[in-house]
Amino acid sequence: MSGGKSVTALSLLRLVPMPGRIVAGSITLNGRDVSRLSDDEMRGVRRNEAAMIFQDASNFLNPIFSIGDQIAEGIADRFPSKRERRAAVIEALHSVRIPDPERVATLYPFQLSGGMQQRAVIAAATARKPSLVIADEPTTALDATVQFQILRLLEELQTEIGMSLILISHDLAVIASVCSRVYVMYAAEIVESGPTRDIYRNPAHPYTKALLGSILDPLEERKPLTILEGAMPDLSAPPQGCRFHPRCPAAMPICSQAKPPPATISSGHQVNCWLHAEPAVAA
Amino acid sequence: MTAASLYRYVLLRLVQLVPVVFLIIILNFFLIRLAPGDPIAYIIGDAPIADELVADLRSKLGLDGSITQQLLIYLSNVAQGDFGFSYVSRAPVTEVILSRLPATLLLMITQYVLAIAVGIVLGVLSARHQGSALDVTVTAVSVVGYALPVFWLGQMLMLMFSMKLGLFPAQGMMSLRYSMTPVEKVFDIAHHLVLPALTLAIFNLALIARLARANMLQVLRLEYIIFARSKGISERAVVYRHALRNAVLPVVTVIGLNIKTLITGAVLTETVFAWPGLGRLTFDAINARDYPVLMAMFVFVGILVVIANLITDIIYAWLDPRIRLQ
Ligand code: SF4
Repeated sequence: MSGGKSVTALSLLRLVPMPGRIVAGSITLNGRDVSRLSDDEMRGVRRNEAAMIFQDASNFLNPIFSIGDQIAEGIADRFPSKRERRAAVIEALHSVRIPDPERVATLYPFQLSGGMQQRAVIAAATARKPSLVIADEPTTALDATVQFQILRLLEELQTEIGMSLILISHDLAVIASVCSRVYVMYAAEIVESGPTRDIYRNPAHPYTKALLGSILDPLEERKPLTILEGAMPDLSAPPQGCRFHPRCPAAMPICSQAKPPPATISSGHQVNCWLHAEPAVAA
Repeated sequence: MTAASLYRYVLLRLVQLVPVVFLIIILNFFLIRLAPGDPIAYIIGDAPIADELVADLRSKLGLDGSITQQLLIYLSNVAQGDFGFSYVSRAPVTEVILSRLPATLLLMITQYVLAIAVGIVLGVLSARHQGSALDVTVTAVSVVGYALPVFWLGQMLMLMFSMKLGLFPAQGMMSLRYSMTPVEKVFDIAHHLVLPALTLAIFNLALIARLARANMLQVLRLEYIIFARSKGISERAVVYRHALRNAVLPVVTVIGLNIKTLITGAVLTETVFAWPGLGRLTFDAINARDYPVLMAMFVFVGILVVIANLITDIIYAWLDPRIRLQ
C-alpha cells in the first residue's frame, strides 16, 4: 500500500493497516463522522453503507476461499438461510455480468482472469447494495478493453442500485468518462474541485493545468508536453504554505509562507491557490 | 467438487508413493551388502567344517544365488513383512518393532498435538498483540526453546520435576505395579508421558510459535485482509478465517519437513527417559550390533517419513485449493 490516494481511500473506511492512523480531519458519511465511530459501528458502516473496490483484484481476493464463499460472508447476516444466501451470491455474480455464475461461485481466484476477478470483487462489494462505493484505481491493472467493460459496469451499477461512486484514479481519460465531479489532490490535499467539465475546460490550479498538460493529444502532434520538475514531497514533512510551491511555475513569495485560502471560480468550482485568492484575503 | 478433487489428489500421491518405498527397500538391501565380510564366515567362525556343509548353509540362507536373485528373495521377504530375527531377543524383527511402535506413536502424537496447538495459539496471539508483554515473552522463550539441545532439556526437566519436586516419574512408561484398573492404567501412562512429551514438544512448539507469528504478521498486512475487513465482517472472522488459514500453510510445510528430525528426537528422548519405544530400540540395537533390527528400522523409518510427508501434502492440499486443483 503506497501513495496518498490509496491511503486516502483506505482511511475513508478506516482500513489503513496498523500502525497507520487518522491524525487529523474528519470523514462524514451519511451525516456521521466516520473517524469517531467505535470499531463495531465502523463494521456496521462497512456492512451497510459503504464498500470498496481495489486496484489489483487478484491481491484482494483471498487465494484459498472460493469466489462464492467470499461474496457470501459479507451478506451472511442478511441471508441466514443457506439457500437464500446462495441465491443472493448467484444474483450478485449475475449483476456484474459474470457468465455462468453458478459455476464461477465454486471457483477459486486463481482460476479466473484479471477482469473476472475484478468483477468478483465488485460483486462482493455491491452484494449488500451499499449507498457508496469507493473504487481505488479499479481498472489500472487491466487490459484496455476490460478496463472499458469494468467502467461501464460501474456506471450501470450506479443507476441499478442507486449507489454513489468515488473513483480514485490517475487516469484522466477514465475520470473524464465516468465522473461528474472531480477533486484534484496534491500531496494528500485537495487543491481544486468542481464539475468535471469545468475542471477539464478551465483548470484554475497550476497543478491541475500541469496534469492536463501531460496528456498526449493524438490530433496535435506538435503540442509540447508539460513536464513538472521535481518529485512528490515527503508527506511526513510536507512543504510549508502551499504544498505545491517548490514545483509550481507560478509560485510567489507568499506561497511558501501561508496556506492558500479556498477561492470560488464559478458555481461549485473551487481552488486553493494564491493566484485566485480574493485581494481582501491575500492582504 | 472440493471432496472429489481432494480425493483425486490423494490417490495420485499414493500411486507416486509406490516407487519411493520400493527404492528405499532396494537401497537398504545394498547397504547391507556394502558391509564388509562374509556372513557365512562369521557364523562358522574357526570351526573346521566340510565344504558340503558350508554350501548347504549358503543355500539355506539364500546366499548362493547371484546378487539379483538375492535381491528378489529380500524383496519378497520384505513384502511379507519378514525382516529376519533379532540377534539379541531371537524374536522376529517385525514383531519386535511392532511391539515398540505404540509407545513411540503415543509419545510423538502427544508432543505434536501439544506443540501444534499451543504453538499456533501463542504465535497468533503474539502476532495480534505485537510488542505486548506476551509477544516479547513468547519471542524470547521460543528463541531459547529452539536452541536447547533435546537431551539436555530432557535431563533438566527430569532433575527439576521428578528428582527435586517429585511431580512426575523419571523413567519408563508404566509403574511396575500389578492390579491396576484400566482407568488407573491410562492415568499412570499419562503421568509418565508428561516429561518426555514436554521435552520433545518444546523444540517444535518454539519453532511453530515463531513461524506462526511471523506468517500471521505478514498475512495480516496483505490486501485480501483489507478487503475482508471492508466487507464489515467481525475481526474474529478476519483473523481466524482469512488470516490464520493462510498463515498456517507454511507452518504445515515446515512441520512436514521436520518429521525426519523426530527420529533423532525419539532416540534421544526415549533414551533419557527409558521410554520403551522405537528410539530406545534403535539405540539399543546400535549398541548391541543387532543388524537385522537396525536394517529393518531403516526401512521402517524411511516408510514412516514418506507417509508423514504424504499426510503433510494432503493437509496442505486440503487447506490450499491451488495445490488441490493444479
Ligand atoms: S498557491 Fe502559489 S505555489 Fe501554490 S499553486 Fe498557487 S501559485 Fe502555485
